[in-house]
Amino acid sequence: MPRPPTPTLRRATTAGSKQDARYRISGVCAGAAFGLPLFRAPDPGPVCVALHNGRMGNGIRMVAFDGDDTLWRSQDYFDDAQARFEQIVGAYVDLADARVAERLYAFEKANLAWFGYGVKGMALSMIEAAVEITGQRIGAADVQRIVGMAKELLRHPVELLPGIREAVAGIAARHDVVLITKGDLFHQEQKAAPCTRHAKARNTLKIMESARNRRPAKRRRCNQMEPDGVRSCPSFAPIRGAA
Amino acid sequence: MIQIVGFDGDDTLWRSQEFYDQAQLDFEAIIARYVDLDSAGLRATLLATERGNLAQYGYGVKGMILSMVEAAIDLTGGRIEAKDIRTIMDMGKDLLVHPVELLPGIAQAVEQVATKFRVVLITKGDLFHQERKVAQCGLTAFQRIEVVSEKDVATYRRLLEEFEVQPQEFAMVGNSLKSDIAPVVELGGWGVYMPYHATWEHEVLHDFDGVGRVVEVDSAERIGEALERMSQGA
Repeated sequence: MPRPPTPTLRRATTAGSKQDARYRISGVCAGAAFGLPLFRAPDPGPVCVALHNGRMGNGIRMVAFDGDDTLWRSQDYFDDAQARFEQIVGAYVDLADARVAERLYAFEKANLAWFGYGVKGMALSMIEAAVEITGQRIGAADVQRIVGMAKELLRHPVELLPGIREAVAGIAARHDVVLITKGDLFHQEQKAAPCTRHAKARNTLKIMESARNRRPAKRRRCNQMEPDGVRSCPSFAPIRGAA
Repeated sequence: MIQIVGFDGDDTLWRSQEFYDQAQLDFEAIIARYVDLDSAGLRATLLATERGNLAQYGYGVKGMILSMVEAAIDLTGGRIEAKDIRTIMDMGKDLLVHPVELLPGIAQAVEQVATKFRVVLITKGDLFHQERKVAQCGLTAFQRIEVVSEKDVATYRRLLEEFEVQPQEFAMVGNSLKSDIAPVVELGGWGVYMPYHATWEHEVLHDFDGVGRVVEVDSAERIGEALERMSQGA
């Protein structure tokens, strides 16, 4: 079966917070936070239909997609990391007696104001929680395992959710589509386009150059979503951090 | 004719590197209790760990703390105690909560430059931490704020496209030859190099030739004058 065309996201913004008024664009957001109509879909197919039928209201010019758990899998990996964290700490304390999950969450919540979202903040909170929960008995090797878990998470290839590639492609045919993703700038950039400067180190530079030559128009910026990084995008222009 | 002037954040607008340097000294003091290694040896190991992790962590305090924890475990052969790991974590948090301290004269310099050029802030590092610093710095002249994960030719090329200016219409003010000056000059832009007394080794660039497009200034008060000179030559 031929692979559907790769969706083209014309612009992507990585925002530390999505509550800033400057991100109130005219479009559909993943939630009704901006007072826009909310359409709840069980899977990506109906989103496309809803937009095309004008069910979301007329005059929509731009559609924004969230990244984590909308385009690609994310929370599953964090949940898995939490399970492994409990396994590590469980060697020192009784998980239920020590209220491990609850206390880890408390550390994460308290640290959010300083670390923001993302894997690095998660790992730091886990290390802090592990030291406290074990009464400073945790061994260095186990701390190293937590650091290793973070690195593994950061290295994890992007796995698009079922049907989302087709949904974005379908919507991109009729609307401007943008990606608005929250969290760690560096990690989100890597997830949004596996063709960052680090991808160059994996010998994709040539592919990028040839892709750049095929760019349809000078000012058209594309950010092709290629989870495997085999065919990737030209200049990684679109992503930016915004304060 | 210069149209837009970009300002770097860390160590150009506000103090930064000295806090990292202090954290490094504190780190060395902790590790020195476990191993008999001089400061240079400890520093080299930590730098190697940080550099090795840059591709995964990017720049910023959070990556630095994780690298410090990793280096501490390596250097002590796994003997480091949990309480010392906790101290390293606290050092990192101190860096994140530290209030923004603007460098002398920079607020006035930015205001002055803003009367003649469009000014933008282009800062590198952790999005969350940089946003906090931008919000706290109190500088309001910037028409645009860009937090980027790397400052290289590709990044500046993209930004200039977005600003809709030609490279020769852009000047960057900053303390890092590697990140603020060299890539902009390579594109055909201009640089105002304002060295800071401390530089992270990763940012050091040797044998840089500004090809007549860079002016070095020793204080923020001289930035406006340097830009005037460049603008006349541009």
